[in-house]
Amino acid sequence: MSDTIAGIIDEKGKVRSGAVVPEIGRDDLIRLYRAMLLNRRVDERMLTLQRQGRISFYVGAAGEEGAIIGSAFAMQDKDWLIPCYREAGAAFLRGYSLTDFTNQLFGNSEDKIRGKQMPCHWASRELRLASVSSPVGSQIPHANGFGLAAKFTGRKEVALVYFGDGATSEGDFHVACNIAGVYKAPVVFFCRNNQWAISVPVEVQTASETFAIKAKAYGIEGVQVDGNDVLAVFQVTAEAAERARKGEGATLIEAITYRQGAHTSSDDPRAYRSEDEVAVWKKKDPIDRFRLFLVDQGHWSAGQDKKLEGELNEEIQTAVRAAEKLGPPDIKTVFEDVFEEMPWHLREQLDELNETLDSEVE
Amino acid sequence: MAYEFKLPDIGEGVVEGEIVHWLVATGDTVDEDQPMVEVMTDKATVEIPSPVKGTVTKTVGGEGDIIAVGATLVVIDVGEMGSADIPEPKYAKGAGGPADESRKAGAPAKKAGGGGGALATPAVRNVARTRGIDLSKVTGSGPGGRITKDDLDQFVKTDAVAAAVGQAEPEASIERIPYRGLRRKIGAHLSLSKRSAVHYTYVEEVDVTSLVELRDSLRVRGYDHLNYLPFVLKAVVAGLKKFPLVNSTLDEEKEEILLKKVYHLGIATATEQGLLVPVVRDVDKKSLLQLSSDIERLIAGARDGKSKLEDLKGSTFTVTSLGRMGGLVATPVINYPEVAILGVHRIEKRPVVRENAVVIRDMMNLSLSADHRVVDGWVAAEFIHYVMRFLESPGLLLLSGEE
Ligand SMILES: Cc1ncc(C[n+]2csc(CCOP(=O)(O)OP(=O)(O)O)c2C)c(N)n1
Repeated sequence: MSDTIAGIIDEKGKVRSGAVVPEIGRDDLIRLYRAMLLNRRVDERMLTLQRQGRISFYVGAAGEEGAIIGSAFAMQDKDWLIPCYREAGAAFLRGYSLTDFTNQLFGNSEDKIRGKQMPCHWASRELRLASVSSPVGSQIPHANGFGLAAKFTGRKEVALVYFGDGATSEGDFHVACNIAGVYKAPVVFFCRNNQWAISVPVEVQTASETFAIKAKAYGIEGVQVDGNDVLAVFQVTAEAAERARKGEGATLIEAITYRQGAHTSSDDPRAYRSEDEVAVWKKKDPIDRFRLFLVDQGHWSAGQDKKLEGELNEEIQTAVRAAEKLGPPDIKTVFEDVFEEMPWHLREQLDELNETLDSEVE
Repeated sequence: MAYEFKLPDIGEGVVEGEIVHWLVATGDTVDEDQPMVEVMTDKATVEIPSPVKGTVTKTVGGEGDIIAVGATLVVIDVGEMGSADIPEPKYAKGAGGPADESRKAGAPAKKAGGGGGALATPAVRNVARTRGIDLSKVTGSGPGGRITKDDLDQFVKTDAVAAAVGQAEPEASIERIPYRGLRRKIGAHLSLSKRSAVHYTYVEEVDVTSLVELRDSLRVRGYDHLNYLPFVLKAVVAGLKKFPLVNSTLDEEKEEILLKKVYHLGIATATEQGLLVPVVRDVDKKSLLQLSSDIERLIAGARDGKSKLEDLKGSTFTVTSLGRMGGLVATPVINYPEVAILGVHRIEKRPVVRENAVVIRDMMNLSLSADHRVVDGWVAAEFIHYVMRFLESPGLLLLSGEE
């Protein structure tokens, strides 16, 4: 581990020499662990459903749970989380229910966004989870919007925005960092450097020494952290959020991690990267490491782990079974949700649709 | 109960998949989520897990076979399990589903004007309504059979009655034949050519009166198998030697043009299965009689389906001759990755002007398609004119190679 990369627990789950473990109570540590494991198991289950043709698409986060959940844990409930598309774990930690998540995957009648988005494009206004915005990098400037709105109205809220290493090559990234620097926006830019942007490796994504160093050009803070160390991620994010809340401006966090699985269910990484590379990173797995840490600290045991696995499995099966039984949203919802008042051309289409449906019934 | 597992859309908008490897066989028991088969799509190769537990009673297709999304892949006996317990994959409907249906529907509409089942935007519907067009009678050319405004214009132009009859053609009057095997290979090869090469065609008329006389006199002397093609090949080789760019290929990746120092000429040959191109090797080193017997052997082989693989490979330039049918002009498609192809048309007597008088001569047209990336129009013209010299004065062939 380089001196400039923040880290607290090593790959064997031991506290690194000289590192200070943040003060987190046992219950919260277990909550973190549970969220990470849930994230992993949900991904596995849902990818299987996709292969069986039961959902159309899926985006997993295997290998990145430490970065995603550690950072979300550092934020307060009043702060906004602005996801990329791989941060279901952050949403779960916030309290976004597995039921809501699964209903969205199936796009069924209970789906809160009524089948209007691809699977894994969830949102929850109540939980301050912005809508997943998958055009790469487009969510990054949104964080300035949330952050600066809070700042101008005197609310002590911070926006945490997630994106991948690939997104740093988009103009939106530069625009957002620049504005955040100039206006001291209360924003945390969280870059999951998972080494790949679909099939494009990190080596050809930038000529900069690191992603974090880019912060310097915009006059904001930049830090690198071991993204597979949930505690270190928590620590640097908490510090960044604290600075933002105090009016000291934005931070760019580069969490060094690895996308263990395919980019999405439509991708096949065997076409562009070696199994050896994956194997190396699997040894640094964030969940295995954190489990070892918990056991080492006397907070956890194999028996408890087994019980938890059983619980999670049951929870996931229940959610899937229920979600799959529900039909699609009412057809008329197709015309709703965009305009507050339905304009004439949509009303006409709706009327025509109703007429057609009526005549088919006859 | 027999549960039919259909190939789902495992990418975003995938329509078919190739079976790479079966992981189960008839008679095997499978658990829920147990991988059954590896399937490759244009996006990824993935293992497909079973959604149910049971015994495999049938697997459809062998390794290498292409299966359409929505087609049954595996049948599993799930025993006592009722259909309520079985998940119903929603994404295993033929991706072309809606489009196919609308094409098949024939007479989709139930209502005039509004055109119930017909696909059209409100603007188009409005136009149809004001012009009194029944949308159900209009064939849509847009995505998924959507009717566009152009389609309405077209509909009004063509005889509406005829259009309606044409559209209502019952399935029984159509014979569907599979687009497979050689047909599909020809299609793929020629589309690649059209996509890659910048085609243009250059046409010239050649006076072959002397060639006809020469051949006739040889025939009289017992060489009755000899036709014109060996002469054409010889003339072409003379041209290729003079204009090496015409006997080349373009390696786009390495950004190099490869000039071929061998003269293997493909002969486009119509067979019952479709077009084949047997290759006459080393045309420059062979006599007219050798060429004649090579051509005869290769064409017969292709027609009888007995071509050896090496007979069909390695051409550096191709000649396509339609024989007596011959036509006047063609725009031949280059036998990619070659850069040019010569179409040879029928010989016929035509009135032409010689020394201010109309005379009757044996005339023949040549259509050369070339890839403009490598062969500019000027080069093509020079090449053809050079080739023409040998066809006009076949005696020159005796000298070729000595210039
Ligand atoms: C503007 C835009 N371009 C391309 C895409 C297609 N696309 C989706 S995700 C992705 C890669 C993004 O990589 P990265 O930012 O590193 O995030 P990761 O997927 O690795 O988490 C691309 C190119 C897109 N969604 N939007």
